[in-house]
Amino acid sequence: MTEDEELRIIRRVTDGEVEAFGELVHHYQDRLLRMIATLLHDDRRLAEDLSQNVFVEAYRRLGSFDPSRSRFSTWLFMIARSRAINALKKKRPTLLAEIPETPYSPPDQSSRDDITLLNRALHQLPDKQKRAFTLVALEDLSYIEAAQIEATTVGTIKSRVSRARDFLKSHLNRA
Amino acid sequence: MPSKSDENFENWIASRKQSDPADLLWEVMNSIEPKADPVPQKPSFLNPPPWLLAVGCFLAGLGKISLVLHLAF
Repeated sequence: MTEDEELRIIRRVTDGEVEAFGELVHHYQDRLLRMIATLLHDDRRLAEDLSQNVFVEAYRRLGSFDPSRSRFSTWLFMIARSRAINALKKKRPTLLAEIPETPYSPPDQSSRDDITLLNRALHQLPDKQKRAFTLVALEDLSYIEAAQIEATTVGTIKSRVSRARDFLKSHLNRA
Repeated sequence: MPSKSDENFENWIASRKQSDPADLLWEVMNSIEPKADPVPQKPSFLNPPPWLLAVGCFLAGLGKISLVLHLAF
């Protein structure tokens, strides 16, 4: 979906065509859920609830979205970030107990062990590094978009991502 | 040549990018109640504030007056 298509959908919603918002939900739900789940220690059920709330909040605040300041996806992720931070404050952090189910099947036990180590290490990262790493390395956002979402500079995001990578890789080298 | 660790690291990143598809549409659209949730106001880029419109009209008026005076004299 191009930016122009998004703006046309937003215009339709603000003109009263509520159902058009469903097109934005359909387009972004996978990415949003995945990002929020990562920030919430892979608690998928909590992430689904939160993602739903994020979309509803985005709908209610659609009048305040200004495309001259950011893309819709950046704005949506900013709402998600804020909600995830609040949810984490309420949720007692738990270590990941199981490997999240994904279509990827590690070829050997060593690789499976590394997957487990890395998933645990991810959730041990300081929150700011984890968010930066999630946005850039896992969700393929640009440094500029990540900086906007985190309300910081590109240089700071690069530093956080780099330190996160080093921390995660150090867990592999220990094994 | 990438090490086994590097390879596993990249494979781990790739695995985290794959996820079960979300199924939020029905819940989200049912949570939005058109009667309870007023239609969001049109974004500001579609609806300039009244003071901006007034300034624009004033400047346009000045422009027309100056054009008339220029043509007259």
